[in-house]
Amino acid sequence: MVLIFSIGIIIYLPNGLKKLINESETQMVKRAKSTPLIIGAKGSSTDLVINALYFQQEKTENITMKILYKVNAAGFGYAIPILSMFTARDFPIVGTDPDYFNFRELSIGAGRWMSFVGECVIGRSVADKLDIGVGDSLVSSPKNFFDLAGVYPLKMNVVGVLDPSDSPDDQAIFVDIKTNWVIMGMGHGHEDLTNNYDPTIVLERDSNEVKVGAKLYLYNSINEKNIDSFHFHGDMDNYPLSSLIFVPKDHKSETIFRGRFETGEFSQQVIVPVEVVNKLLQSIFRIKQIFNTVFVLVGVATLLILVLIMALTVRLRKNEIYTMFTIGSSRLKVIEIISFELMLLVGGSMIFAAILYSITGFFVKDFIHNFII
Amino acid sequence: MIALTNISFQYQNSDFCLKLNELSIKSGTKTAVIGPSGFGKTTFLNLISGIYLPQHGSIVVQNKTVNELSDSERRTFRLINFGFVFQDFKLLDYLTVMDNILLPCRINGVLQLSAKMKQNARKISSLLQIEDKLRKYPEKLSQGERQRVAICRALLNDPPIILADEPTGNLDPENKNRIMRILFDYVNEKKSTLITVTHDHELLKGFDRIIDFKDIYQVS
Amino acid sequence: MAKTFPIIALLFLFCCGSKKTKENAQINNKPRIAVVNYPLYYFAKTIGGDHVTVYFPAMDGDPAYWKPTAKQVINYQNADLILANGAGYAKWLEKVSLPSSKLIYTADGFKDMWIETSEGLAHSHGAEGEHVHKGTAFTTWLNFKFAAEQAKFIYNSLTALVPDHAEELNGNFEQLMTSLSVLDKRMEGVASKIGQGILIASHPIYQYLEAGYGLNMVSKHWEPDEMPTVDQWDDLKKIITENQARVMIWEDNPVEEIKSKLLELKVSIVVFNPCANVPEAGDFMDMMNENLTQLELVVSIM
Repeated sequence: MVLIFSIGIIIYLPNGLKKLINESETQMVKRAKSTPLIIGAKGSSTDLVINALYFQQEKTENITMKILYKVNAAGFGYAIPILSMFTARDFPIVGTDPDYFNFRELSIGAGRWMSFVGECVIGRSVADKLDIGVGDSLVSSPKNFFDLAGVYPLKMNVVGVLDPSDSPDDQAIFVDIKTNWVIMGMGHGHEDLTNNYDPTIVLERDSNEVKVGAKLYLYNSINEKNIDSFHFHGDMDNYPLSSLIFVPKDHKSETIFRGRFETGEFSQQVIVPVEVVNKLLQSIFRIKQIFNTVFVLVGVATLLILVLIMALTVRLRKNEIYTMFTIGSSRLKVIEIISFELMLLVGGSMIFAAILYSITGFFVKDFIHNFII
Repeated sequence: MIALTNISFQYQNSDFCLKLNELSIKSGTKTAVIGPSGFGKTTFLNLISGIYLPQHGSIVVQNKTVNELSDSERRTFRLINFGFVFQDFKLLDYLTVMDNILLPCRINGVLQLSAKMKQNARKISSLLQIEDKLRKYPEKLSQGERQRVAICRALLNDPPIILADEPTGNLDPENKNRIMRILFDYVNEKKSTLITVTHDHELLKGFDRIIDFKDIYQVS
Repeated sequence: MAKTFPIIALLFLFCCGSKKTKENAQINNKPRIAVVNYPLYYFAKTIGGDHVTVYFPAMDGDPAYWKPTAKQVINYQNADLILANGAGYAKWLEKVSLPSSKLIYTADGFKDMWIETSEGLAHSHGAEGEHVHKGTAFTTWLNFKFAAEQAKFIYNSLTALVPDHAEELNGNFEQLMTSLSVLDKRMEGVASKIGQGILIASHPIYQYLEAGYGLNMVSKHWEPDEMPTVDQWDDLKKIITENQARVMIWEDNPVEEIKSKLLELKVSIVVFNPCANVPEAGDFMDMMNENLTQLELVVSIM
């Protein structure tokens, strides 16, 4: 049995890994193919793609809302904002707008689409893993312990759960982009200061201006009662985005639009996700080749061990073979018996490998979405 | 009747050579073969049963010239006419007692694994008082019980000739006597021929004939 | 007869059902435009005609301060085009989630001409230091030149949505522009007669009217249905005295009490309804023309 399991695992490993890699490739390419263009700050295109498509929060420079307006005004298609910088219980918070859900053809399984700042719609895997649903809430996490003063944890209300989509969207928490800006502290809500005379809160006051201290309580959740008090500071045109997904009207528009980046009209970079992913996969392909070589060597070693085991078995069973021969068995019969045992061993290993392979097939998509993309 | 005439046998790549002029053993007799080690006693049994072929001479058993049969004919002849009992029992540890007894039916298509054969196995095992051990594996049995299983296997298809090579070599005195009694009782009842190689002179009294290899056979 | 009647009834129902389905299909094929106030509704409907459906939910009071429900937000999300005013109009837009590709701020074309105001008290706090809640005045359509700009913005957007009807939309747009041009000329005429004279505004909502036509206004925070306090009246008297102000502009008819008091002070009342919400009678043009008629009347008497 031990031998069957061992050989089974050795047969399974390269095939299982191949399945995993192939499925990962398929999923990554599928996701990339479904996204026409990504616009972001100049820098690593791989990091940009990974952030925009798979919501892995690689360090990327931000762009601003101005770029979104400029891109939309160009008239070659429309842009969808993406801001992915924070997490809640280890799931990425993705700031976007309703265009994203239409673009990805996502549907609501329970509840409704987000309407207000402070609301969120979660992917099915998030709901299942955290055992939460419509009516529950999630609090955003600080990026690290050194960042506690720089971000403002926000309690977000879950208003909808998406239907499963077999994509990274299942693992994401979607909010309106403005909600992310509140987490960044660019917008907040607090009590009306007009009639607040608490000296520990209101430090100075004249007819035009009130100076307040840090003691002023900033709301950490947005609800019907306090939403009116929420406001944003500064010019919102300069507010940050991680990237834009650009959906061109047609192929001609896409070509002309991309040309605008080459002429310097836009100082950002525009990338074709499938090209970046294919390049990334080529690296993975090289690693896969190395793995295949290793597995071939392991397979040859296993075969040799198997031959050695069979030879030792025959030697150990010499007495037994002699007994059978003495009683009246032909050499052919003895070979038949040993061959049959070998077939059982190999057959058993292959069945075990096939079972492992089927189990892999069953869990591979979940595994990929949880651990790879 | 077993008759050997002008036999000369030598192993490949060995100086050992067994020669005999003439020897015959009557059917239905109990013959003990004794002699020092290395004198070819086991070789003698293997020649009779057709496992080895002499380079010269003839071996006639049950009116068949064994050395003129083909490989396949000799195997079949051996399976039908001989029952083997070995000093170290030669049971297969991974088979149950019942499967060990029925082994001759599985290794050659000549003997069919039929209901009759299974019934016969149970009958013999009952005779040898191991019928309650049929589902057990050999490692769970005592030495004496294992030899009795080996004897059941040897007697499964009622062979006319039983070859026993040191059948009591690994047994205690009580079991030795018991085993020999079993063999003698069977042979007496079935009028079979028993040829036993033994070093134990205490067991010789039950035999009809004693052949001392030291005196009769030329071995070089 | 007994047998034919059910058959006729079935046929009748089938035909009605078919017609209804056809109507539904027509409605379903029309782009859906969502707007945030009545002027935009009027412009979109006038330009788009039967080729668009315009969604403007019933709003109590001033649409600038309206708060939608979640369902209403989703209705906006589902529109093919969302026409916002811009210049900070409708703060609720900051609090909701809307597709940026469909959201058009019709006043963006003259962003550099937006008028800054200070909203309430400035406040500063936290590490950011001082920040002031500077807002912008948002009744941009009261400058009829700006209204025309906004209408043009809408026309361009609608043409992109229903290009097959571009010619008809163009005709509608030209008519609208002509009407707005008439309003503009009338207002210029009134403004030239007013000259440097000070007008009192009951509410600070006429900034674009003031700036666009060179008027001088002093704004108060009076409600048409609330009798001001003694202090407020005293303050008004001071303004009247210092500025020789004789006209007070209201967004709606003030209550009789206020009217009588103003009459005592020899201040004429002009109702200049900004028409941000659906008027009780008539449409945007009717309302603006009536506004101008009232203004012209008062000015002619002055």
